[in-house]
Amino acid sequence: MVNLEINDLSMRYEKKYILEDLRLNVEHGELLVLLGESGCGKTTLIKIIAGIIEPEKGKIIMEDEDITLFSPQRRKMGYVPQAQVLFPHMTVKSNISFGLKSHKKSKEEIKEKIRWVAELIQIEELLERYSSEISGGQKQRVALARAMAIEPHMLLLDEPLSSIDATGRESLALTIRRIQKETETTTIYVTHNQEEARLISDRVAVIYDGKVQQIGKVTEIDNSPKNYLIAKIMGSPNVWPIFYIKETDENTILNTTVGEIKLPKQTNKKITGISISPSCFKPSLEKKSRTDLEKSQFIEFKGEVKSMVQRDERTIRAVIELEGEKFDYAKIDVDKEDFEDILSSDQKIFLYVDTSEVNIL
Amino acid sequence: MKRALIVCLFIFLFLIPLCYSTPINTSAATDYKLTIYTYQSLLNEPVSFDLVGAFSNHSGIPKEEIQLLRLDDSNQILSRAILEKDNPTADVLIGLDNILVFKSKSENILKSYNSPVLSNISSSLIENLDPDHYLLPYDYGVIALWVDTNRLNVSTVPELDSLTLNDILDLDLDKKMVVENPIFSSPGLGFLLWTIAVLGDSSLDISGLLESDWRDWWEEANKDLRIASSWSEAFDIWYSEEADRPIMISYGTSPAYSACLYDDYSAVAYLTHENSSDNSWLQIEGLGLVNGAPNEENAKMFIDWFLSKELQDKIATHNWMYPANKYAEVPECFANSAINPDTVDILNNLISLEILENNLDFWLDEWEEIFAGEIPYSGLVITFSALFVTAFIYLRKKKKQ
Amino acid sequence: MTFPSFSLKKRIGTKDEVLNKVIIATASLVIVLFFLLFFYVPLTKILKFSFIEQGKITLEYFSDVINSPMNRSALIFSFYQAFLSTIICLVIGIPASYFLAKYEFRGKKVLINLLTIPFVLPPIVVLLGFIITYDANGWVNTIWQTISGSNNPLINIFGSIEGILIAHIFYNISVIIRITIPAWENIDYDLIDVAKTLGTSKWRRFRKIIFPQIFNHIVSASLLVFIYAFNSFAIVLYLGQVRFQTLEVRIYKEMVRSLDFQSGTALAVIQLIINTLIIVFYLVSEKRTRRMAMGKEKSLKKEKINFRKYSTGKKLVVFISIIYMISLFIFTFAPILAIIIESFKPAVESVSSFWGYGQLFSTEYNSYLHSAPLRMLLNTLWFASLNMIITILISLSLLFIIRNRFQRLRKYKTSRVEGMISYLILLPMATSSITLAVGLFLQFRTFSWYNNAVWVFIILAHVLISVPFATRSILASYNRIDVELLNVASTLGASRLRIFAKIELPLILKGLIVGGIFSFAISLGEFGATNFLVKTEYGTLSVGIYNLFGSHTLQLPAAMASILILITILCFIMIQKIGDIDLKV
Repeated sequence: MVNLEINDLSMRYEKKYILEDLRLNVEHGELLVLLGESGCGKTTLIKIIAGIIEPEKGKIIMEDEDITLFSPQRRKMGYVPQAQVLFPHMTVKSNISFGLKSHKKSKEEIKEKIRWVAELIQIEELLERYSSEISGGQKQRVALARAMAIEPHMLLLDEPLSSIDATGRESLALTIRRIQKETETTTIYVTHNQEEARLISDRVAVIYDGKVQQIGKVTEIDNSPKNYLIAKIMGSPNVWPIFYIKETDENTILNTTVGEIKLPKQTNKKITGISISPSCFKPSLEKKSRTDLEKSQFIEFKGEVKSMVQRDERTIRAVIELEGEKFDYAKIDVDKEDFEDILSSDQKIFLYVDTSEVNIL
Repeated sequence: MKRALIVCLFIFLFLIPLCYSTPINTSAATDYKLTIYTYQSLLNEPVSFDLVGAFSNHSGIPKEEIQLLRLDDSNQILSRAILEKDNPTADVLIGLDNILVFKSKSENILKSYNSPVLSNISSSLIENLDPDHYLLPYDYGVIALWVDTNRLNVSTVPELDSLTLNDILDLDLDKKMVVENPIFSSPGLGFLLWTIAVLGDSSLDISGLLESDWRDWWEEANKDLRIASSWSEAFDIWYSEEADRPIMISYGTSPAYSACLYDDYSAVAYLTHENSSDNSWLQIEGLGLVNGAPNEENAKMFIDWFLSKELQDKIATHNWMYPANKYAEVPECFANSAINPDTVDILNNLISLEILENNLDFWLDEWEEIFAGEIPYSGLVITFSALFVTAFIYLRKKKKQ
Repeated sequence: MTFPSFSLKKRIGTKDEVLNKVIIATASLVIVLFFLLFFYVPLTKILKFSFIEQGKITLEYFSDVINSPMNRSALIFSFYQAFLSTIICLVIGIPASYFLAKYEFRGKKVLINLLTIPFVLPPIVVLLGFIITYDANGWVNTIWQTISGSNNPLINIFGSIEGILIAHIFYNISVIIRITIPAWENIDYDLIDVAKTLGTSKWRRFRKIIFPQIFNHIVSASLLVFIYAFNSFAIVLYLGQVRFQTLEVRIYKEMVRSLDFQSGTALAVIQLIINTLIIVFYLVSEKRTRRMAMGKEKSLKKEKINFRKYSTGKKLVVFISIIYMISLFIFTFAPILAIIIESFKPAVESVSSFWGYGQLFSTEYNSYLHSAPLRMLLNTLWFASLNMIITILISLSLLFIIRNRFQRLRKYKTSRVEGMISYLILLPMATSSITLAVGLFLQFRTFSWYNNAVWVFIILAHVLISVPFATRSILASYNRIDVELLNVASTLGASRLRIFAKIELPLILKGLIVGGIFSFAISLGEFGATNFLVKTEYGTLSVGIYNLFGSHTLQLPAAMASILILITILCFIMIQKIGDIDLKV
């Protein structure tokens, strides 16, 4: 169980910064998910932590020891790369024992460790096979076992589920979580998929523009994303950016991709976008008259139903293509009993949202 | 199983030669007491004469301390000696002739040696080869057309006995002839000089015997002659019945080989007879002491021995040339079949040594140009322009995209 | 410096890193010393001959050489015949490769491999096979004369362009076929289907879709054929006689025969420049080919030959194609077969069929060969083995330097070392073998042990010739290793040496063996340099065969050549076998 501190880390690739003055703290024994879109530098970051790439600037401190210039061999990190790379000329067993032999462990110890790790990751029956003889999910398990066998200070996982079929994903994710908990290994888990983050993380760090933009528990970020991009990366539905803001005496008018939205005067923070919870939309087949709306401030959207999926026993989630120049979609949750028979594909529909329910990001 | 097979193959191919260690054993540096460079065939026919052994007996130098290096031909001897000029390995060079002597003297690779045995050597040979004694003659012979009379019936070609160079063209004998490349081979070069001496060179105002130009002769013969790169290659063509070329450029002494060994007189040497004289080019072969030889004393001893009667007696029947030593013996079969150079009108006198030295390279270049094959450019132009057009269209299309 | 606070000790790091640095330093030293000592220094010695006179740099020899009509015509002829050889190879080879790519039939793989054999054969053996097959009294002309009743031979291979061209086509056709088969197979047929639905004409489809896809392969293959034909030596030396000379033959003649080192070296420099240009061009084109080969989904539909299903027109086309392939096969195999048959064909009736092989143990031909044929065979194998070992060692040293670019990518920059090394070994590749040999000779002959160690220099010349080829094969297999494997291994705590021994070496082993065998095969057949350096007892089979061209019987050289053919084919089979086993990641 170690902690890791990254200070002012910078890395350039052909003059373009992919990491710039990045700071990050990883707590003892936690599983931190680095969440970001492809190309945001998260793989580079994990490779820097593993010691494979040397940063241009910055420090990496593990348990009060500066390891920035340590070779990967000295760092003792359990690194599982994105591609399922097993040593193709070795059996699964030799793959796992490779690290142990490199650390000059005794024969008995190696045997013991292989048994332990194989049981932990449930790959006992694969030990004598070659990597060409096992499936993608199994390969990733072996890669995990190989990393865990040396009892690393930290486990570094680079998109471990990316090339595994849907059915195997959840089980592998949960295996990772279980192992991490059982061995209390501080773990950094890189992904672009927020669902994985929700499934297993202790904390999530959202990365873009070469920096950690927000870090915290999933619920914390969900509740108060710093800006619309973070909300989008976190997978919140109905997130729209803002083009420009017009201020009047009473109102703030936001020009978004889905049209102008007039809100009561906003003063508290910088506005980057809006989000609307799917349950806040009030669908209607007919355009409501002005009088109906005057009671409170409503925003009106017009669109066509594109798909409907049952979410649970009570609700249906519908995707509405909003009218406008760009193809924007709204996801709305409606009551099953009320709307199941009414809504159909390609049907014109009006949506109303109370301005108080619009989240400012 | 397959793997085992591959391993076995490996062992067979790579390990067996490893056990074979002779090259390493011989690599232990030996300090030779004498190193001789010569050409492959020196005293080598019909069976190899043990030159090293004989000299070892004569001098008392152990056989293994004498190194005899046989290079491809006499050009190679000279070229290697020039390459090694700054720090010679060889002590004696055997086989440079009355043409290579110029280059060897201008390159300064030899040292003049006034051998005591020179008194036994015919003085005209010494004069013709090298009056300064850098190169000492050991044998000589004239260049001749060597004809297999079994295949070229003399009775159908009565002109053979009074043959001229122009007869060769007129009678289409050039279609039956194989000539060595003068650049590579000394008989070939001798024959080229023969034609120059007979026909003359109009561009250099050398009148020759006939006041014509040698280029015309070769240009006419060009398409019909077969050119071989060495004497042995020419011999192979001459010998093979299918090639049907029973005339080759060789030596006046060549018939002696079959005459002495098989009592077969059917191969006959012919000369040309312009202006009713027996014309031919004389080749004199010599040996010389290397300038800066590591073992000069042994080298001198070797040269003296090589020119002595003891060794010179072997020249006729092992090197198939006339020995330079006046007292050396020549067997009867040899004398009966070979053309004795002393009875021939030597063409060498028509080209002064100075002219020869200055123009040799020029003549060889000219000769080569006559023989250079013409490249039919039409094919090239057509294919090339087709290719160019294709490439042009292709590239232009690409640019548009 | 951005890391002022870090001590030097930390930078240098662990024992492992120090050891690694020592290894790199040693490897670099070995490589640099080897090439400096045995290539670059001798090369400057040669250059001195042509550029320096009495201590002054002069270009006089250069202009002399260029002004000489013979040299100019040799230069033109080199281009001419190389160009024609390439074009004819393309015209003959591309339909054959299309047939082989398109149709599936039993023994296809064997056929492709068999067609490749001439390319790996030593040039001298090819030459011998050629003389036996196409000589005035060779097979082809005999058959022609019997059929036509004429007395004139059909083909005259001596002193004619046809002879040289046929030999070069025979030698190089397999290059075209082998390189362009994958081109046909890799054509993106989705595109063609799309084009068909769009109603494009057949010719347009070919020009717009098929041709651009195979174009790069064709360029690569052509450049390769061109460079082999351009530098052809033994074939042109023997078949061209005086009439036709390539630059290489001319260099040989100037240096070795006419003793004109100035002209010889000046020509060598011209050849070096041209070769370098072509090779650089080839490398660029090959890189592009490799890039294009990626990401193709649907490939050529292969079909089994089935006459019953075809329409009459199609039947005819396939029938003609088969006849074509058979003639190509005969063309390729006749000379090889001829050698083997000749080796059992006594020239005189009194000797047995095995006389040629029996002669291997005799010393009867010593006046031509200087040593027994058996000794030559053993020399050949010995040189080839040593050459292989040294070549592999040098390639490994190169690898030790190059592999470090993967150990910590500093700022993502790929190292310049690889580029430098590829140029370092490029130059020997572009230098004629005779120039190499002359350089070695001039540089080392002054040592007292030179004469006794000639064999060492023969091997060194072979190493210089084979290192570029072997290294390319080894580097190609090294570049296929997934970098992440090495990254993982290093995070698992494996030292750099351990990573090399346990991960990299096993993964490149095949490439290493293939490269090794390839260099073995090159050494087996090398003629130009060996022939120049060789002295008395160190002759190889190639040199022996050449020396015996002048003898009355071709049975002995044919026997020697048959042995070379056998060994070469064994090597080739091994390469094929090893190349086929594929460890898929």
